[in-house]
Amino acid sequence: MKKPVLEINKLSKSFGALKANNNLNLNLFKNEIHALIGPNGSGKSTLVRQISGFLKQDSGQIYLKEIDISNHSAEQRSRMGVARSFQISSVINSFKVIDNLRLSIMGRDGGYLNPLNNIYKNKDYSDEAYDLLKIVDLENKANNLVSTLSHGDKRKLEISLALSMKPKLFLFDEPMAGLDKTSSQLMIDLFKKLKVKAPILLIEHDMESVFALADRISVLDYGSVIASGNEIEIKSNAKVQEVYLGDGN
Amino acid sequence: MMSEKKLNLIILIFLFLVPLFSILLNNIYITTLFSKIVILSIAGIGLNLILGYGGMVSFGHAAFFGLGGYVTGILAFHFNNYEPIRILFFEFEGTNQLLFIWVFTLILSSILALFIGYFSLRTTGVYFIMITLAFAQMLYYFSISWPTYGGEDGLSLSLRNQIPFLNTMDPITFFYICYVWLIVTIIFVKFILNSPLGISLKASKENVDRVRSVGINPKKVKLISFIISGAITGLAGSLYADLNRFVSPTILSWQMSGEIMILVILGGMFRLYGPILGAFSYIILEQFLGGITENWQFWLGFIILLEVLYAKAGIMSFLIKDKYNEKTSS
Repeated sequence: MKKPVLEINKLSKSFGALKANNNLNLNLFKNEIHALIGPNGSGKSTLVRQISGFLKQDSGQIYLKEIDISNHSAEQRSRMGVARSFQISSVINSFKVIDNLRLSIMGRDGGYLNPLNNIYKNKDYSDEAYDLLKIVDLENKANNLVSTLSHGDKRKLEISLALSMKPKLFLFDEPMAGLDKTSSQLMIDLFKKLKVKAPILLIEHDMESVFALADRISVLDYGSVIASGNEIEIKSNAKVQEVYLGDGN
Repeated sequence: MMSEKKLNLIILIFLFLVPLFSILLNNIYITTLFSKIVILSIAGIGLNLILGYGGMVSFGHAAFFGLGGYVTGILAFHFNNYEPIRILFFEFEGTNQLLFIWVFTLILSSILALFIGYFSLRTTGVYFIMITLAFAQMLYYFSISWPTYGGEDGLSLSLRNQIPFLNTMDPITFFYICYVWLIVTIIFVKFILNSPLGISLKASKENVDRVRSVGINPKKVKLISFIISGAITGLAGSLYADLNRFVSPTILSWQMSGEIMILVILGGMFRLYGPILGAFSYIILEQFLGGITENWQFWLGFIILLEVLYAKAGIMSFLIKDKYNEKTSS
């Protein structure tokens, strides 16, 4: 039987009386893009924050390649290969593009408390950073300040930062948000290539992108998975139609 | 307007030539005054590491400055009185050898910074300011109530502490000792800023979530930086005690913390050499305005007000071409 890269078992998280995730079960397999959709407030981003270690779950377990990471810190999980992007682009704006990559490569390899080695003269870091930027087509902007990049380029940079972590899985939280049609299409093409490197848990509201990318779709409502399946199964599910897709889809 | 590198070089050459000006003008007080500027510059560079580059507003750096001063004073006091220092079951001799004193100072300041940083870094923002201030005030009141070392009256050193083959009582020699420490501090901090620790510190200041998502623990980064900052400031305090041959609770007071912070802000928070210009401006203003009016602090406050309103990047931003935020990453 195929073993999942990520397995979430009865995960629950409440904020006061509000149950953001309620006994949630989910998994992610190799070479897969598993999209997570649902109305605003259904608990998608809360789930990503818990998987990445930014939010502690109330109960339940998270397994990464059969290792229980439920009590690991966000930093530990990142170094173990849980790579994520943020709902709102989260990069170091005052750094150059390449320095963001240097930071992440160094963070991944450890030794970030070293006060003496000159990181800007580390050829291995620079070479790897350029290679990563080539994947997202940003190598020509390597020495630009991030604050001068367009929204689309910042999104690409975030993807390259996730890639730099030698990921075992990607968590992408609304990566198409704010992108125009052309940029979205570029991102779709990129994700199709990336899923071979590591499976992707994709949160996205742009249904066109979801249907173009996802091998499997799960629908969240009130913190629980109400349906899971391929595009046709999801589109024909009456409950999904009712709570999320509506008649138009 | 000139490049930052050129201005930095001019600053270092100017400081190096200060004793020469002093001799030419037949006024040795200039050298002593610039020794104070150099020492406060070292303290400022120490604070700037966490304030400018790390975004940690420590209002308690007088704790390290004062500790350095008291370590120097107490070791010399016991050496001069032939009395051993007794701490619990341990007993050791005092010393007047600066090389030992500096090592002691660096170790003890680091330990104190580890202790203060460990607790303070659990907070952020205004709470961080208050907790660092509280620690410094605790030490301040402790020093006042410690009669063995002069209490409120402070502790006098009959002679400056010694370095083999050098006459530290000579103002020019002592100036160059401080100058060498300034150069060492600049080189060390420059190394840090280009190191994994430095880039992690600068990133942690701006975006903690991003830093954590690439496997870096920002708390550890900040704590190590805080320790280094405290050690540098402690060393400056040690030199300050030897310069004045006197140490008192004043150097542990919140005013001292404020003074170090003011000179960092005045010179330019995001520049390595900013605190040197800040210390220079602060001391010169103190001397110049102090000669005109007793209420010189009022005018200093007015100048700082103008700077905060119109030149947030400090005096350095007036003198160099590029804006501070264009080079924060390299």
